[in-house]
Amino acid sequence: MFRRSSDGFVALNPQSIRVISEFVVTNGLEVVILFGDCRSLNEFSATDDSGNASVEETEAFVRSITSSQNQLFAYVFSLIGDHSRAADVVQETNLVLWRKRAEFDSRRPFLPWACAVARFQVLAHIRDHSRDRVLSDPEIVEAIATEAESQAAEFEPVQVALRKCIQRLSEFEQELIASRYQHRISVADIAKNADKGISAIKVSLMRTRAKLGECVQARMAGKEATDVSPLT
Amino acid sequence: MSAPSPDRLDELLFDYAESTLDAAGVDELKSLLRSDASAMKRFVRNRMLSAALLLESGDDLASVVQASEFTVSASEKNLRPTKKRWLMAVAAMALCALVVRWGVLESSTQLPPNPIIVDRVADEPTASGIAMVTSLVDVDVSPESQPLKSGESVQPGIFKIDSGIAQIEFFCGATVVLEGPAELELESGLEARVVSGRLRAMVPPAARGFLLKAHGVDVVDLGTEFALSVDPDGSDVQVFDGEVELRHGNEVSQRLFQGAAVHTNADASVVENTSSEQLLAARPFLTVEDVQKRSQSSVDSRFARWQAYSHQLGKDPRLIAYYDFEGDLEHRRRLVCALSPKNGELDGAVVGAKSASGRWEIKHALEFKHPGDRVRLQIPGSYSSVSFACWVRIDSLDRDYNSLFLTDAYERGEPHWQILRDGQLFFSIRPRNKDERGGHHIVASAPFWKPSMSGRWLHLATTYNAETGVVRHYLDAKLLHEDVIPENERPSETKFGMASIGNWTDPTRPDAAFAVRNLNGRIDELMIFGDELAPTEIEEMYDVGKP
Repeated sequence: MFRRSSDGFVALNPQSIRVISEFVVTNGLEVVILFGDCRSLNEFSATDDSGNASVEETEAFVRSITSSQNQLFAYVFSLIGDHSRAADVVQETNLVLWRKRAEFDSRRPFLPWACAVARFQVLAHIRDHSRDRVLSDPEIVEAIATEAESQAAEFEPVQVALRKCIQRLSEFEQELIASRYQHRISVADIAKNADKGISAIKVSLMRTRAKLGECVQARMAGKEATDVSPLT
Repeated sequence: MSAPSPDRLDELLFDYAESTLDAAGVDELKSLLRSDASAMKRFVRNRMLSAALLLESGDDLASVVQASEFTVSASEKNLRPTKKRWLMAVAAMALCALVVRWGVLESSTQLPPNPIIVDRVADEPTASGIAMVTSLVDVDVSPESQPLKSGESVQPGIFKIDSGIAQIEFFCGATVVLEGPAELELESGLEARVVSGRLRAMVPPAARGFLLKAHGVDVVDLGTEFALSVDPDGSDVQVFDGEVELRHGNEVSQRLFQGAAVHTNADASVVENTSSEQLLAARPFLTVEDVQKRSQSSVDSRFARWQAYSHQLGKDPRLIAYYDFEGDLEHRRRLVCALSPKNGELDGAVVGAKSASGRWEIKHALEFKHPGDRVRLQIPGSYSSVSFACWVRIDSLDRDYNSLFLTDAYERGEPHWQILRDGQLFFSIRPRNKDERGGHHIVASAPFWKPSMSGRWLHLATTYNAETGVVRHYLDAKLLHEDVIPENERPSETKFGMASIGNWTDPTRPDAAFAVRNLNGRIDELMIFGDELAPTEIEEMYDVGKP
């Protein structure tokens, strides 16, 4: 779940974990990090490595990076289309963001800046893994980057709406969604476990997704989506 | 309005996400994305939905809790005391994690605990050693020697083999192929005394200065490759490539270049140049490739031996379930039960865990890494005494509970077999149902695992005698711990039902969240017996199966 890189950065699988930690190794210091909240930073007269960021600025930066983890994941995932790769890239992105924190102009919005960094990380990842079977390619990334960024900005309401929409699904549909996205069981394995054909599961999943998509859109538009009935 | 029926784009997107779209489909999708702005928007929306669905998975909170307990430390070497003891240590944690960790305080005014910053952590894992043994081929380790195991580090001290070939990689980067019988005194990561024997040393630039002390002469490598043969009469040095320096006492007496060879008498008196071709012709020194070749044939024969044993074992009527982890785990995703005669009902379903190599390169294993990775099993029947045994490679113990084999419900009569974070092997069997009062007796060994054992294949076994209540834990066939479960804490029968290898699922939890208890490592063989195995049986299992 967490990684330790040679320069001491420790980050966690960031789409799920909203902890970012780094300690500067220039002084070779040993630290145990058990922060509960960045408020507690105030209790330390922190001076940044770069020497000029105030505690308040650093605090605000940490808050920004922390609160945009889901959006960043959504952005990166939409570009790269693979869960674990996206998680890796977000992790790398966090590190780069942290290193570049001095370059960030705190008067400007955080997300576009973070997305720009993330996009480079995505492209670098695709380049470095070009021999693997990657789900995305640079052409697609370029084509959708702008749209992905604007949708990432709206990601939180999507999540809130989605939770409501899932509750409206039938038990079967909920199970299907949980199997595929929560337990990450492949379509083929779901089909095998359910003793059904792959194409049947695929159609059910597609329809359930389409329903969820509609429901989320409706909720985002402020309409009560009452028309989502269980699939029979 | 009913849910829209999926159209061509939906299908393309779905197949693309599932990696089942062929090249023509990908091209079709790309051209749609280029030409149609609304298709592009739907594409992104589709992926955003997937991202949101993935983020709904329940492992988030638990992982944060795990992580918050993680200790970070770095080398103290560069500590500059004049500077602030710490410059910047920043971590932030979402409130949801705090709710789990410190109880519900989301909307309260209560502040979360302060950060704890500790200087050099007392219990930081350490590993000691100056070199690694990377290969042992047909080696008999001499009784005077320190214990040697392939893949383990060695300490300063006697390194002695009576026969066979050992490959040692010094931490400085030098590699030595040692032919037994031979004796070394390892002094540091950069030097060793050669008491007797023949060796070939490969010294890359990074390890320049690697020093071997022999009878009457010290050999300092100035780059690449040389051989040294030491017997009571003296020492022979041959240079295959690059340059070495011979020293007597503190003086450099001679430099040898590629192709040169020198014999030094034990009293250092006579130094005679010989032609390396002559010496080589007499008996060539083994290279790393030779070691690999021999090692491979030795692996093949050990694997074949294990296979034969495994085949026999599958017929043991006391076995309840046996998984040898062979077969195509990558594509079939089915962990075939290796009992003979076959019983497909006992086959496991692989979830998440990836196919990987096992104790030997040719042996299959499953790698458990992610919080969801597991093998699902359904084992019917009721039993009394049981024994578990498995070959496991632990990469690290990241979780409070690191699963080996766990029954889902953990109801009366169901056992749990796992490893605690601090390396204690843990066995328990529930004596009563959950709704009844009373706990359960846990049999946990002393911590057996150290981070230095990371990546090494271990044999773990636990036996439980239902009559006497005796539980024994074994590591590599050595008794680790013994305890008795009192009679009133023993269930009348032992059952399994739904269970997992490498993880734990609590079916009683209605929500999506699940405890993260996955093993971080690999398993390549696991067996459950309906009987208490004797120590000799465990010993045999270990001897035949050890890598």
